[in-house]
Amino acid sequence: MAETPADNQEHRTTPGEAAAAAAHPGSAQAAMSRQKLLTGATVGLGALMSVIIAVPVTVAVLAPSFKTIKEFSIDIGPATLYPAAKSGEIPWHAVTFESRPDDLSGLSRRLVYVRNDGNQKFTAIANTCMHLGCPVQANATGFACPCHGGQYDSQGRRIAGPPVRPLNRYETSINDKGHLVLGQLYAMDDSLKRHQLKGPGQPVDGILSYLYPDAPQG
Amino acid sequence: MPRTRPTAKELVVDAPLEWVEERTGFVGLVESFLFRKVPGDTSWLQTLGSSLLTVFLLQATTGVILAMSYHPDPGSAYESIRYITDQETLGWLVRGMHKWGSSVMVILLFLHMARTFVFGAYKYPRELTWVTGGLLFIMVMAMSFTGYLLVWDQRAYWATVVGVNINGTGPIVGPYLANFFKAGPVFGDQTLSRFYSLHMLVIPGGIFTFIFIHMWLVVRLGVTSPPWSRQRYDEAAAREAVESSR
Repeated sequence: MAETPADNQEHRTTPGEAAAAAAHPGSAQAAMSRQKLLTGATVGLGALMSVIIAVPVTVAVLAPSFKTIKEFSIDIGPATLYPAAKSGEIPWHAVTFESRPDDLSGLSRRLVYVRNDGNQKFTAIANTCMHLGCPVQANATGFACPCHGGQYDSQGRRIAGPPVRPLNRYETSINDKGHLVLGQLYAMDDSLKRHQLKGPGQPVDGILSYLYPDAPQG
Repeated sequence: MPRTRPTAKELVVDAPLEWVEERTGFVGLVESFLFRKVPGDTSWLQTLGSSLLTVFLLQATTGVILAMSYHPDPGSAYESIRYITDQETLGWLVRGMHKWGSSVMVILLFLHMARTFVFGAYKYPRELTWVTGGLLFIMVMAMSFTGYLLVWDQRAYWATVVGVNINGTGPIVGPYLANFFKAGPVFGDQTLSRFYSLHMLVIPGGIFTFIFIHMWLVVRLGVTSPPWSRQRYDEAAAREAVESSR
């Protein structure tokens, strides 16, 4: 490519040259400052357009990270469906329900273990393992997870394996029709104290809990 | 000098290539890529990188074909996979190549990286070749992770639940990263389409880009001799070669 004389020169303008350029349009100095202006305009406009495209794209991609959980009250039918167990029986009733009534894909289907504690009191334990989220199964002593061998006692507290905290629970209430209603899902610590919900594998008490921002709830 | 008739080769091969070369310079580019000088003691171990490139192109090609019949929708994803496997002409073969090719790619990647490490080929002036290779490694892992869910059977679903929750146990950013993958606080129908988009658009774009940079650096900096090489290494000459290639 043939080089124009201007290509070889340093593109630096002193105030004197700038003044000369203004005084003599069409001179070498004027051409250089025009080149600088066009370079700046190209880079500047390019940067501006990139930002205009990048900001909405980034926001749209990252927004779901900060979405909140929509909680629904779930009516799981007459409380009489869940009688107290006779001694020696597994006390848990396995109940499946749709956690989002508007979702028909089956992905929001959840399983909860319901136990009748007598006097219209119920315990509802979610089947999500607190190691990494596999489904646990009720057994004679409590719960067991098939994925990595987590074991829980009859209160959902960890007794063996990798889970970091007890199983989550649902609030329970009886409505005016005598139906058992599941409310908000919440986390538990080992002394069965209630905590804000966090993801599986994330401790809710102790120093390590500060490493995991609470899952935003709505 | 009497004009001679052009031979068939000149007419069919040389003349079109010359025409293209004059207008694009592609022929010279391809020649300088293929006919590079390499150390005399280069061995089969140095072919792992080109094997990886071949497997990547296989994955890209079979992936495009699979994408023609796959439905990234929770209601029909599994059925579309069954259709590809059982109904489509040679669909079982294309899907099988993609499935086994993914394992082959990961295995070759580890071997290629081990070879580079053991040969000390990451040292000056090839640090950035190693760094871009490291980024490619992460992207291939991300491909394995996102591709696994797309089969949408019980194993795919629960393995991905576990994988996403492993991401969730990362300190501070973990929970947000998990929600990023799930496209929200819980697994939903957006999760599958997000994984599909990451698997077939976002990450392959990154892999193509970084393979280009990686290979640009390989061609520019040349191939390393093995550590047991008897060819004397002249650092001054090597630096000069790098300088003069600028």
